[in-house]
Amino acid sequence: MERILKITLAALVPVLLISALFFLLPPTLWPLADSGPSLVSGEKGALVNFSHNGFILWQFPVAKLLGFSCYPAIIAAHLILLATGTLLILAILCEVSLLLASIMGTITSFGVFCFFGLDSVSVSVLSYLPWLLLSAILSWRNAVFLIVSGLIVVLSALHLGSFAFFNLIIVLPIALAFRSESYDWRGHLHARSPALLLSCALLLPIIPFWGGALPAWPAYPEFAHLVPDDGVAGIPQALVGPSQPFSIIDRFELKAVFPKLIGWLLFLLAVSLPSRSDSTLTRYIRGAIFALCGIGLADTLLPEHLVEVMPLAALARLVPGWISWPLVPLAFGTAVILMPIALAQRPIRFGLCMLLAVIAGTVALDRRYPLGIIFGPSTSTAWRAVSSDSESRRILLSPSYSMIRVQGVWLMNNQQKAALNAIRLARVPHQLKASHNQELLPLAVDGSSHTRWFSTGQSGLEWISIQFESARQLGGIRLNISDFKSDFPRGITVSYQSECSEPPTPLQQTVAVIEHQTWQGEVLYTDAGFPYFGSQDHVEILFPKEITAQCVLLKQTAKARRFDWSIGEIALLEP
Amino acid sequence: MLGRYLPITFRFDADACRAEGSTDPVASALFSLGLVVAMLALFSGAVSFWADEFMPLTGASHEALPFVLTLWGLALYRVRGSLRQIELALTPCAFGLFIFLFSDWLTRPYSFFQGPSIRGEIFVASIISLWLLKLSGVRFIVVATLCSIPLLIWCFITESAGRIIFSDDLGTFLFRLSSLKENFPNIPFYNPSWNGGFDARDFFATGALNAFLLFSPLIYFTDLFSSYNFIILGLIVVIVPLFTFLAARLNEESVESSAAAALIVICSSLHWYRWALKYGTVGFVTSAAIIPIILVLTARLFSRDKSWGIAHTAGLTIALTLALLWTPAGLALVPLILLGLFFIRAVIGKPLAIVTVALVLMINLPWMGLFLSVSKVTTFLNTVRPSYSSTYSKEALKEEAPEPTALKISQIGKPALRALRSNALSTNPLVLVLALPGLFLLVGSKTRIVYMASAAWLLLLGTIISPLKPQLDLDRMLVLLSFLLSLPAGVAAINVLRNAIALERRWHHLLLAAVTGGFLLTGPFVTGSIIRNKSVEQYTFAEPIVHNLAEAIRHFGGEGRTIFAGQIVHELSGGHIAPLTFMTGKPLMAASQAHDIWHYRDVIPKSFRVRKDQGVREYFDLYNITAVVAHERFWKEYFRARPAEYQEVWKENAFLLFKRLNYTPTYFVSGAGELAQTNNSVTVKLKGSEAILKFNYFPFLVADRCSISGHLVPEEVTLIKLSGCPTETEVTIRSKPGFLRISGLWEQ
Repeated sequence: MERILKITLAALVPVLLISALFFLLPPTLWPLADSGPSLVSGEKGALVNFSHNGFILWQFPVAKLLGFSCYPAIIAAHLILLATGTLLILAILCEVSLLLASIMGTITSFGVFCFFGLDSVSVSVLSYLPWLLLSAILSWRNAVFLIVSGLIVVLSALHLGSFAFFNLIIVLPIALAFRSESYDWRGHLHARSPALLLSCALLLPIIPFWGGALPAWPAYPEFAHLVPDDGVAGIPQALVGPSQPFSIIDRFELKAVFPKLIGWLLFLLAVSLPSRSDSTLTRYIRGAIFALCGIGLADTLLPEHLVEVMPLAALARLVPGWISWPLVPLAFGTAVILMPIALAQRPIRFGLCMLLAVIAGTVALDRRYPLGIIFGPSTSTAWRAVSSDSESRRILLSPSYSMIRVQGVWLMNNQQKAALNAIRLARVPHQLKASHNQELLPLAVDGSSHTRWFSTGQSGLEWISIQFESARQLGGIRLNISDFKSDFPRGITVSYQSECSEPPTPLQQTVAVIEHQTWQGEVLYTDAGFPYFGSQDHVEILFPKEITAQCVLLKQTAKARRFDWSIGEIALLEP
Repeated sequence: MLGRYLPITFRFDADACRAEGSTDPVASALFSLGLVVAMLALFSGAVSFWADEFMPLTGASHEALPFVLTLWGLALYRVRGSLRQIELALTPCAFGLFIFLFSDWLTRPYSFFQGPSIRGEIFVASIISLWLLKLSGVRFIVVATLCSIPLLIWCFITESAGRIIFSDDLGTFLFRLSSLKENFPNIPFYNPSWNGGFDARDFFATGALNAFLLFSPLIYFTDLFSSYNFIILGLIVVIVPLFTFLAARLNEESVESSAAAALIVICSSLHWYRWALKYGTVGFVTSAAIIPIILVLTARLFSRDKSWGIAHTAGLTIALTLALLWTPAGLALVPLILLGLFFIRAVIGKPLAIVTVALVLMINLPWMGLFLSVSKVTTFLNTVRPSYSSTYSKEALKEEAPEPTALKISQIGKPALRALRSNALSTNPLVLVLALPGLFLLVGSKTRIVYMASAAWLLLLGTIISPLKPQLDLDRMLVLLSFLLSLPAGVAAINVLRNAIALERRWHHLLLAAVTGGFLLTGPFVTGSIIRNKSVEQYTFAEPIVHNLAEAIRHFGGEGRTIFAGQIVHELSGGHIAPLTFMTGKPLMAASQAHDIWHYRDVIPKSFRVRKDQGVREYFDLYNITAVVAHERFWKEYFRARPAEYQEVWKENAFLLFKRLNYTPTYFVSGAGELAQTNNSVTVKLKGSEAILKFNYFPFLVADRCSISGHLVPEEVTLIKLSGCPTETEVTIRSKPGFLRISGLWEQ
């Protein structure tokens, strides 16, 4: 009883600290705070991920159970769940002092928050893991833990759907290995099987009803795309689960973020060299972290055609519901929360590692990624812009989010494009200048798309500039390449001068309007107003806002040596 | 046994590769590996590493020959020409799985494992299977098999989403089962609900009876339209693995081997699901599911040292009867008759064996006689059009399409190789690689002989004889072959896994066990993806239009018949329209309600069509047509252009329903009275003694208290003429009982 009391008191430390953090943070940092009742009512709601554009059905029965009504409280509850679970593992399995365990648990929870912020899916999935690990390991020792294990499986499956299976995949091998030191090669499960069987038996019937469904899919046409193409033929399809008709996960974002994070984690693990005094559990946990980091790196560092045969991609196709959500963040997050267990015997190293991790995470990521997504400008701006508009929120909570995050909330205004009229440049007095083939420039305004101006290859240094007789109002520009379908610009930047004496060059100062690091195609809209990318060979560049410009500079910024940048005809999009 | 007659030793056990003394393990490994490479080259043609044209290894089959010959030459050199020192070893054969895994085999369009990404699943499953092997030994295969069945059930239920499976012949089977439910055992019978009356006798040729008998409790005690999906699901997902499991257990294989066989059989090939789900050949599937039990029981019958009891007698009698109800099964089982003659002493030595043979003959000869008497078997055997594969596409249904000619013996090389490759490609690599060594691992020499003889015969039927008689669809025998070989493949797979445990973690055995486990565990997911309609073989369910059309016909069909203008094959949700009579409760007409015409044939005979509007009107009057369904552009425009005669009353997608105007419905060409029809009889109450009815006449029809004959209207239509009938008395017209129709055969 005394022990339970002490553990309860120790658990108060993370509860109080995490609660304090969430009360003290300014409300402007909680753009999702009023994001609608569907997220807390216990009903399923569509959820799009900030960083990689995953799109799934989600619900918060735990929050409903506890009577929470706002999004931050839900995140805080899960972080507390994570911290207390870690505390219990450290105190019971690793025999760390309660005070130290509570501090380590709290730090771990803060670490997860730093990395994942308001990524409710990742935070929720991870928060159950320590509890499941603890109960699964102890279920062989005590029947009560077997029941607890089963309850956690059921509870997490109700909440997480098929993502609960992720925890089982992590926990069961560790738990079984930890308890099976006496196994010989022909060993049998004997009395150790109940937890495995119970867990699977409880989970499997739940998955089909909870994990299989996907959110309602906006009526994108077949040729649409939402994220940059990964370069591999075909669309990833789940084997037996439901699939989306085309890719939605932004693989480039994942590849940009997670190798750095996983690399840092591996570095930190390497800093805390293994020693002979390490317990069996520590050794297994260390192995699990290495395995998770390995499959995470395999998923993000290898070329895409090899990634598709790597474990995470295969698991995503195997388990219903996983195809719409990348598993790298979960693998990384799991490795993070296993770190305190791996370093339980060395609290100072753990503290050092966590400090380094936070610094590294902050430094390694730019503001668009997990940490920056929450506090950075683009997401917050987007949410503030739509916080009072349920229609815009519906668009934001869709696979189109990826486009909106990259280009801005102005994309949600589909009326802007409808109000523009195309005027051929030939009809407007103008002067043209180009980086290459100056003599071919008249072909870009001769009224025929069969003739063209072109650069020789695309090195990222090509440009073309236009000077009008007087300043004009512009909402966009169209570069028709109809007969030269492969010759679209791989990346393009538009800038302008309100007044100018001659067509500008990149050396002159201009005001940037829009930048497409990789040209994905013209922006189109479904009937319900969801934006999507059309074909890449339709080069119609919309501006976020109307400009008044006398000179416009178009810069091709990407490399494609085998393809020219061609312009058959230039047209201005004017209000 | 074969080792006595062949120079090569066949010996399989866990220590095969470490054998000392009589055989040379290295030479055996080289020989076995060469055999696998030769098989792959034969099945595959050009082979590339990883993906097509990624890294070509061979440009054609013969290019692998030097490599194979080198391997075999090395083997021979090592044993100094003594063939008896070479054995067909399991481990090197199983290494063939790696060749399949890393070659472009998995990336080809009709491969069972459809890649290239499927390799990821196989890798993951390999790791999991190795881990499970460590934890629980080979018992995890039993759990995997048990888990596979609910997985596939879930896949089917999710995919069907409450819709009735309707693809191709599955709709017709629903009609046949519904008809059997109401008429069995009085078959064949006269069914007036389609086309003015037809001879419902196709239960024998299509194998509808075996599925009907097998699922009769479900059929009789539930609403068939509600339980039909469960019948198909039960057959494909439960009966098939269960019967293979039972067959393996009857052959005294271990539980694990039996479970592995059951697991492989639900993943035997992509073509299996083409026939089962896309073409809907329920009779074939049911027979195929039963055949492993027949083979194993027959092998027991041939064994002198094995007992034969009442249970075996009953089992073999029931199994053979059910299998033979799909008549081509008799052809597949021909080797059993020949082997029966070879092992006649063993059979005669068992008193109950004679009873078994007698029972099988007594039960099956009568219906076979009936089948011969009512079906135009000889005519069918002399046609050349294959019944399914060539006619599935619309292109194959053009009017006046030229008749393909049957090939001569000298021309069958290429088609035979094509059929072999096509089926091999769709077959699970586990079957391709492990079935051959697995045949030698089966318990009991008679089982091995029966299996080998059947396999060789099916191979012969599917490759050599199939092009000679395309109308028999004998390429199905290759599907059946891969299905049957799942059992030996399962036995071999378990041996591979056991070797990994027995041989104390030798790396190559662990690797083999991993990849074998990988293929085993991935298989059900691939089958799940086929059932979820994610493969190249797409099947269909009854879309809402089927029910809407039925409802429209019920509502607007009028008192007479509703006709489908032109020809309808798969246009309605990919299936045949046969069950619409049950769904509408109305008599219908179409060029054919099932899949039994191979060229475009308009429902209105040419002799009527040439007379334009007048002819069409006459034909409609002749069959008491009160509503018309049109889906072809010509007929839609035709009826729309005549609003005075046809009123458009319903439309959905390509289908329009027109109501006939200015026509008084009657089923009497001459005479008068009252008429009622069911799906096996017509009952009339005449006001005079004679009448001509708007129902087709057949010589096997009888009428109570009346004289019945045919009345030729124009040259193409013969209607029922009743004469000498009592007035105001009910007269029922129906088919003669079946046994009287058999007597007709002898009269002929």
